[in-house]
Amino acid sequence: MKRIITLAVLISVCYVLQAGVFSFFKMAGIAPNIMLILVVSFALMRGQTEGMLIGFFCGLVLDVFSGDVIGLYALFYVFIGYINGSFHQIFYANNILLPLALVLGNGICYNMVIYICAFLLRNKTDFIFYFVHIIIPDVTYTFLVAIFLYNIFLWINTILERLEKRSAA
Amino acid sequence: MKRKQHIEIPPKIILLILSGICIVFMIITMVFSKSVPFLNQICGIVLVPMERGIDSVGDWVNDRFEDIKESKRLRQNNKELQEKVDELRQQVRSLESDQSELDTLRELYKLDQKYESYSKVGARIIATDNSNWYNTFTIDKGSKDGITVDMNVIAGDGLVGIVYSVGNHYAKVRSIIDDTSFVSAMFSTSADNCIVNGDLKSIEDGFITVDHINKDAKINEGDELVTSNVSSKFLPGITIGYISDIELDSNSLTKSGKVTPAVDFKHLEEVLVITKLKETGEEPELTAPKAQDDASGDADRKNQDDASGEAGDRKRNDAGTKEE
Repeated sequence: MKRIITLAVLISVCYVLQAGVFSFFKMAGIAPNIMLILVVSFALMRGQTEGMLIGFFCGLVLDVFSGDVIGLYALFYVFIGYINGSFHQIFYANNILLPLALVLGNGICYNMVIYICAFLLRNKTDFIFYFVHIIIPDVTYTFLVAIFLYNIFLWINTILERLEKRSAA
Repeated sequence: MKRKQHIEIPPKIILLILSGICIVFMIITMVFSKSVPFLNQICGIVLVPMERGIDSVGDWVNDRFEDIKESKRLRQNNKELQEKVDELRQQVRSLESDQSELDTLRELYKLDQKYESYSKVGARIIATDNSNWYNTFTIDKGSKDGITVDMNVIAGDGLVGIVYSVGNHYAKVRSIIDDTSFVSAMFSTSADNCIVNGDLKSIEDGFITVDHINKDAKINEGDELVTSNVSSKFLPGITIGYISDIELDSNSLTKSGKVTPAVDFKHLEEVLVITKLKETGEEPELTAPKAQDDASGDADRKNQDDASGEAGDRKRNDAGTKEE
């Protein structure tokens, strides 16, 4: 129960951060993708099931506020949760390289899929331009923010797991 | 975690279930072509107040920084502006006499109604788009404040965009610089029709693109582009921007060019929503929720609108269906 409430709050806060706060601090017109960091971190820390559920609700929030089609981002993030959850088996709390590498990889894939679905299919073929001006800044900024955010998520998760253990005992 | 695992469903099944739910949502929104209403409301209740709070804090911090930066510049500006005020005062006097002349002429042609000022609602931008691929934003007024889908959004004197979805206390606006935006436009000088497209690529240099200009159109660099009379969603005569780099297309039938938007999209904070929907003469039910200011419009004018509406429809079909 505590976990569900915490996660609901986290998703809301992340959405507000992404849409509100970070658009004030846009670097070169680019905002970081905080929802992606949230889903990747928790999928890695908690496994596929929880990753998918968090992804689903994150995507739903994004859909409701921005999408023309409800469910598209949700589907997207469910898959991100599922794929990253499979790395849960090789997860160690003090290994920060794995989550950062995953954020980097996911960021590139995520943006590539958006480019292909929303731009390439409309015959906007100048991939190099979009890669240099949108994808690279987006992924880099997300990566830098992930260094801080991942540690915060890790800390929250550790506290939650400790609380759960105590109530189970 | 471990004690839970043995009662949990395997992840593959959950993946299937969640994907299924997503696809069902997608089908629902595509079939009914609007978002699932209860989801909208739940998110609106929780997130919009949070966004508003964050926005005001952010604004406050921003303002303090700006204050320090601005005060020096303002002092200098003040001097220059004072000189300009004197100069402009003189101009106003001469323009006033022109205006009275214009008024009488307009009355003669009964055109004054067409250029009436639209009633507007001020709104504040509380969030921008969630990804870097789109140029959309959220404003803090929604259906409870009289906003409906397809209302035009302006700032200063220029067109900002159009409302494309509405919640109780928020509305989403697609700006004209968004890559998926199309606006039917015309030149204020020659009334040649064209289409203004948002373009993610050229907006980096501060431009959006315009195409489908007739090759014989008598236009010059720097001409003003306004929303077209034949547009189905945009009210006529709103400034979009100024054209440059006019080129003949490879098909030798049309010209295209770049448009510098009249609105500074990088520093938008507050916008005005025009609470009057375009009357196309096609779908009378669309115009039902429009603002009451229109009720005072006399019968003469309605006849006029109907006549021009029909002509407009024919023209629009020729111009193509691209326009939003």
